[in-house]
Amino acid sequence: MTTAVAESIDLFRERFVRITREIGKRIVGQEEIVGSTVTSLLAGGHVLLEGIPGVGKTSLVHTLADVLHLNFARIQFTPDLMPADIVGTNIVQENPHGGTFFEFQQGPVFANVVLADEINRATPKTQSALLEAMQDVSVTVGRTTYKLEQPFFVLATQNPLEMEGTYPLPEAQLDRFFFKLKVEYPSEAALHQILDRTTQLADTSVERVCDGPEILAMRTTARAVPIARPVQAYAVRLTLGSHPDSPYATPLVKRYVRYGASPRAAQAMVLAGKIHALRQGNAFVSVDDVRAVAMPALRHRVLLNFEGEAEQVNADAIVGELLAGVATE
Amino acid sequence: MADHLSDRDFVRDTVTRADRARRDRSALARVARVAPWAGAASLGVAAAVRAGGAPAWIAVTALTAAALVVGAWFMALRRTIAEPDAVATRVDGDAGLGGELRSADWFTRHADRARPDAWIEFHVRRAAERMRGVDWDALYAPVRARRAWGLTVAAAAGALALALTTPVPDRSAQASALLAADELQGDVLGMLPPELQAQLEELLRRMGEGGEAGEVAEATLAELRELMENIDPAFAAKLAELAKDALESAEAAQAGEQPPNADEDMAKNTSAGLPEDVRWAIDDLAERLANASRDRQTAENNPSASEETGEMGSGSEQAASAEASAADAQMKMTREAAADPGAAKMMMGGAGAMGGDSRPGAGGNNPAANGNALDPLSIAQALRQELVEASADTKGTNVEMEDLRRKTEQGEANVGFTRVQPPSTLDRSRAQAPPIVPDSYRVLLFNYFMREK
Repeated sequence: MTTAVAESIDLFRERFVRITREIGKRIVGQEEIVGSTVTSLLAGGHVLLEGIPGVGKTSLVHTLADVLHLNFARIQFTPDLMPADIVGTNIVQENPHGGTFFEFQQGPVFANVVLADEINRATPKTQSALLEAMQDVSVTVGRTTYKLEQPFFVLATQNPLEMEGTYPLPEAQLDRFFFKLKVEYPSEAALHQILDRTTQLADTSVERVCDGPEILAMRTTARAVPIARPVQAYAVRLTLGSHPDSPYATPLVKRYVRYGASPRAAQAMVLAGKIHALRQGNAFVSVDDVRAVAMPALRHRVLLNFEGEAEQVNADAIVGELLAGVATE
Repeated sequence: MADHLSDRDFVRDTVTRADRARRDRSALARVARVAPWAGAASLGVAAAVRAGGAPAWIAVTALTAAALVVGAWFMALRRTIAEPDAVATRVDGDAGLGGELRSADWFTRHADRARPDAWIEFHVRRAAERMRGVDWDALYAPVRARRAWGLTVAAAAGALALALTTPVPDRSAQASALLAADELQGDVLGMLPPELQAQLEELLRRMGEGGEAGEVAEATLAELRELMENIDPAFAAKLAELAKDALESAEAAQAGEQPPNADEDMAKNTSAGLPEDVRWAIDDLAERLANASRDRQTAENNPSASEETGEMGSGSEQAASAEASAADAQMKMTREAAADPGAAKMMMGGAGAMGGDSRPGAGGNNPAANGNALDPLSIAQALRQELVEASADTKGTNVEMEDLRRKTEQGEANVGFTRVQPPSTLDRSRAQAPPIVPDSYRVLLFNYFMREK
C-alpha cells in the first residue's frame, strides 16, 4: 500500500516537472511564477497575474493551455464588455417547422483555461460575471445552471501602472483568486534568452505533456497528503495574524490593515503547501512548505485601510512581517 | 537505537531519547561555562579566609555551597521539559530532517485522531527510516569542555588546600601580644573606666598565666574580645596618642620648655574622642558664631548698611559716590533726550515729573515730590483718568500729542477673549482632529470612496 503512495508521489513530481519544463521552453526567467501557476492549477484555484506590459503574462497562459491539452479561451476585458459576453446568452432560433425557441449560446467562459486579460478594465458588473464560475464552476443564465468542464482554470491579468479608467477588483472577487502572482521584470540573462528565442529561427513549440484527467488525478493526489495539526495551526495563525484585532497581529497589520485574510487564505496555504511538499517528494507538509506559499496566498487578501493606501504600504511588506513575526511552534 | 520497535514506536522513542540527550548536553554545556567561575569564587573565599585568619570551615562551606548550587542548577536545566511538539521541532531542527520528524511525531502521538491512512503510514515509515540514518550519539555528543572542567577542579582543589592548611590561631601567642600591648599602653588603660580596667587586667592576668586550657581559655578569650569590642577603635587609638603626647610633654617639662601648639593639641584632643556628628555640630556652631560676630562688627562700622546683604548705605562713602555717578548718568540721558522731543518723556528717569520710582510700593511719581504717593485712592484716580483720556483719544493731562495715534490704534484692536465652556465629556472628534489629506493623496481618497460604493 505504501508502495502505491510512493508511486503517486513520484508520478506527481514527474508530471509537475514535465509541465514546468515544457512551459520553460517559452517562458524564460519566470520559474517561480510558472511553478506557482501550475500549483494553483493543481489545487483547483485561479490565479491573478499582475505585472507591467510585456513581461510574458499572456504568453504564460497561452503556453500553459498548449502544454496541458486543454480548451483555451481568451476574454479581453474592456469597459463596454457585458456579462453575457462572458457567460453566454439565450438567442432565438427557428426550428424547421417555422417555430422559434431559445438556444443557449455558450460564452468564452466555457473552456478549461480562461484568460481574463486586463480584468480590471471591465466594470465591476462584468467582473462579477466570473464569480460563480470561479467559485462553483458553474454558470447560471436565466433559470438554467450550466456546469463547467473540469479542470476549470481562470488566469486573470492586470496592469498595475495604467490606473486611469480601470475598476479595481472587488474584495469578493479578489478573494476567489487562489494566488496573486507578481510577474517581475526579467533579469539581464533572461532577457538575452528571450531575445535568442524570439528573434532567431529557434523552435519554441511545446508539446502537450498532460491532459485534463491527469490534472484531476494530480489534484486528488495533492489532497491526500497528510498535514500535522501543528503545521496546520501555523497556517491558521498566519491567517488570523493578518487581522488587526488578532493576538497574532504584527505592528504593521495593526496600523495599516482594515480587514485580514479570509479562511480561503488558510485553505490556499494548506493546499498549496501540500503541492509544494509533493514537489519536494515529501509525503508530509512542513512549516517551510506553508511559508513558501504564504506570500502569494495572502498578499491580495490583506485589505489596507485608508492610511495604508495613502502611504502606499506594500501588502508584501505586511505579509513579510507576518512570516517573520508569527511563531512556527 | 532499538530496531525491533515498530515505526511509530521508534519515532516516539527516538524523539524522547534524543530530547533527553539534547537536554543533558545543553545543561552540561551551560554548567561547564559557569563551573570555573564558581570554582574561582570558592578559591577566592578560601584565600580571603586564610588572609583574614578566619576559621577554615568558612572556606569549606563556601566550596560545598558552590558545588551544590551548580549541581542543583544542572538538575533543573535537565528537568526542563518543553511541550512535545516543541521538543520534536527542536530535535528535528538539530537533525536537519526538514520537518519530517516533527510531523511524524505528531501523527504517532495522535494516532487516535488521525484516521488510518496509507499516506500517514508511509510518512511515518519514511521518517523512521531517515531517523535511523541519523547518528544521534554524534549529534548529541557529550560536552567535553576539558579546559573548563580542569580549571574547575584546580580551583576547587586549591580552595580545599587553602582551607585545610589554614593555621589554627595560637592562644598563648595572642595572650603575649595582649600583655605587650598592656605594657606599652599602660597609660591608656589608666584612662579606661575603673571597672572596665579591673576586668581587663584580671583577664590579661589569667591569660598571661596560661594555666587555663580548653573551654575555660576559650571563654576567657571570648570575654576579652567582648571587652575590646566595647572600646571604640578610634578612641583606643586616640588614647594611645594621648599617652604618647603626655610622655613627650613630661619630657619637655623636665627640659623646661613649653610645646608650641599645646593649646591646639588640647582642643583637638578634647574633641577627637567625640563622635563625628557631634564634632561637625560643634564646628558648625563655631562657624555661625564667628559669622554673627563679623556681622556685628560690620554694623558698628557702618550703621546704615543693610543687615541682610551687607549692602552699603547712603551714609557711606561708597554709597555717596554711587549716588553721584547715578545722577551724572541721569543728567547725561536727559541731555541726549533733549535732541529727540518725542522720546524726551520716555527717557526721563529718577525724580522728574513723569519719572517712575523703581522702589517697590511707590508705583508712580516721586512720593517725596507730591506727598501723597501712598494714597491708593489717588493712584486709582490717576490711573482712571489716564484710561478715560486714552479711550476717548483726547489730549489731557496724561496723554500727550505724540501718544494720540498709538492710543487710537490700540483702541481699535478687535481681538478679544471669549470664554468657552469646556465640554463636560470626552469627545474624540474634538480631541483628535482628522488628519489633513495632502494634495498628493486626493486621487487615492477619491478612489477609496469610489470603491466603497
